[in-house]
Amino acid sequence: MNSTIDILDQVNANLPTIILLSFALLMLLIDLFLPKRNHLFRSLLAIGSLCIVYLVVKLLLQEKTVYTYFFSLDSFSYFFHILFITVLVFTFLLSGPYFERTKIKFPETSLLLFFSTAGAMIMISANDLIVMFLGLELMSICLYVLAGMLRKRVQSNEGALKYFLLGAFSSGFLLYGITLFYGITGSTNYSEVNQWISQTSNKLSLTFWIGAGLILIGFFFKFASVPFHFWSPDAYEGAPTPITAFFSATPKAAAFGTFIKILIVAFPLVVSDFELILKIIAIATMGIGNFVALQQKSVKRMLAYSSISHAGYLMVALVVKSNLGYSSILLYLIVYSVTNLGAFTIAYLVNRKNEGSYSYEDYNGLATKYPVLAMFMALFMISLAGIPPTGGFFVKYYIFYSALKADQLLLAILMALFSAISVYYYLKVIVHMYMKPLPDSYETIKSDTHVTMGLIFSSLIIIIIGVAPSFWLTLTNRSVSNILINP
Amino acid sequence: MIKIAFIILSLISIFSALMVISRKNPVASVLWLVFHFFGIAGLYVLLGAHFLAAVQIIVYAGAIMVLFLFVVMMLNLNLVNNEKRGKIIGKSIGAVVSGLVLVLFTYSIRTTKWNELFFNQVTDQEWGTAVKLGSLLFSNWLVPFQIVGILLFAAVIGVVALMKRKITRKVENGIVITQEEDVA
Repeated sequence: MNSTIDILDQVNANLPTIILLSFALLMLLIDLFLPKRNHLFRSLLAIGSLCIVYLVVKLLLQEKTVYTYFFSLDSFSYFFHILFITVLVFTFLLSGPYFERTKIKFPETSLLLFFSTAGAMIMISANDLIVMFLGLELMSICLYVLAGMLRKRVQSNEGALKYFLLGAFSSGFLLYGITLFYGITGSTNYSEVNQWISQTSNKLSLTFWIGAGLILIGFFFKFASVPFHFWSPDAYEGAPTPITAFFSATPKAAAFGTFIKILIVAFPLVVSDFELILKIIAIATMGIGNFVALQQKSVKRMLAYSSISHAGYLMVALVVKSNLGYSSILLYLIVYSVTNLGAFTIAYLVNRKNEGSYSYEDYNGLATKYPVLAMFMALFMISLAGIPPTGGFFVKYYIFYSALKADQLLLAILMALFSAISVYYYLKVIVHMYMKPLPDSYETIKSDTHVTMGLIFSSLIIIIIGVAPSFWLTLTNRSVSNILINP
Repeated sequence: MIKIAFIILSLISIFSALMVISRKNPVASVLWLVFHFFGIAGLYVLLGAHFLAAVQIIVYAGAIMVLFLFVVMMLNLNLVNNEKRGKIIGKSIGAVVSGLVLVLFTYSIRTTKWNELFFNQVTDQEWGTAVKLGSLLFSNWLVPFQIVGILLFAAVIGVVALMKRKITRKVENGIVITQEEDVA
């Protein structure tokens, strides 16, 4: 154990998280005295944007990096902190009408969203497996509750329970892996594990590999990659739709970010041994995600399976294990999170009749009645499918390119093939919107200014990344190459 | 002497764990689980983790198992019907896989040269006492310890959010009427 641990440094390293948490707790208290929900809504937004501004300024100034035994605050964690807070603000912007409609308790929901974001931030900045695990649990426990927020729906209960049981199961795997690691290396710190590996690199025992394997399985659960994906479609379908959007963004980004950090800091010497297993799972994830998404009749379920297939594309970049691959994952996560948030929002706006159907037929003739909404949806679908003018194309292209550069020809070809298949089910939505006739009875879609604002922002982000992708790639590349490794 | 104690305690733990999963009556399962926790607590004492052993008995065997018992009794679960208990193929696949995992783990633990590893470097005999643990938690591990606090707080909020109901009571003609509704 390092004897020069400074509590103040640790607090400094967690400053963004602590600010976020204190605001969340403050909101809990203020909420007692607020008569209307709307006020709270606005103030939450203000605070969220405040945090973003704070972090952006910090990132741009590159003012301070803090390294302690348990936490580090470097440009990598800054990047993810900004991503998480952006997702949080978008969730608040885009979820208003849904909460009005379903009468979900807003204060608790927003508090849980704040807490799970804080957990994700702790996970990313952790330098130690135990601390990472604490962050993961903080994030997941809030998510289990959020998944079951619609108490009266059976589907919601089922999804939440499945998510909870399998999530607890995967946490068990992860924790057992960490225990075995502690047993043989004597430490849970990333860089100390790396040191131990470098000292005994040629005679790593079987126990080491079992520990590593269990940690990998724990992460595969969180990625929702294929043999471990069963919870995800049900949890996605059962959760309230804005929360589903949050599910597809923050936890996934946190899991991938943490995994990249562990690969770079703790396992740089053994990372090539993981290649085969990552490769197999990447292929299976892309394949099954896409083929099952083809058969879905509900748009929400289709988006759930499509998020599985996106996890597959991201795992291709993990196999490549170059800085280019990692930085394209980071860029992919921005585009993918923002696009999914937008797509889920439009899905719940369009599905206003009864919660739980989300059929493609709801989109019939949307373009004649609501051309702007249809345009947004078309943009999101095109971006998810990876068609050129959008950011979705470039991030997929970068992953493809990095796979080719690393001589992973098979993976690159399969990835291109599967994303070609995925175009079918994304464009199906567009076909329904633009080419099917408007049904006779048509209810109006209720939206509000917050949602409009959120949709405009998210499409702007997609288009900006599509217009100037290389600038963003250099930004993420800087984040990846500046991960602090025990200075 | 320690070896005999170890063998007895592990036998207790393994046997009671088997009983937990094989009982049909959930109340019996829960009671066997209490036994299991006692066995594990004994193993902790043998390892020198005195504080952990005490916490194991107070928190798990004491508090949590009482909660378990209450929940099981209140839910009044029906006994599982023997005929509907899954197919033989699924069961045997499960048995084979977990058997293989058991073999793998046993083999790996037997072949690892533990005495070359760091456990032999632990010379402090009092590492598991409440004093040592407490001073560690409140010095080096202070910030992670606070995170645990936040984690528990989040869990409490989650439970309240899932369970909160508005109950209104009215008295009509001398009869108390209670109404439950979700709080929006």
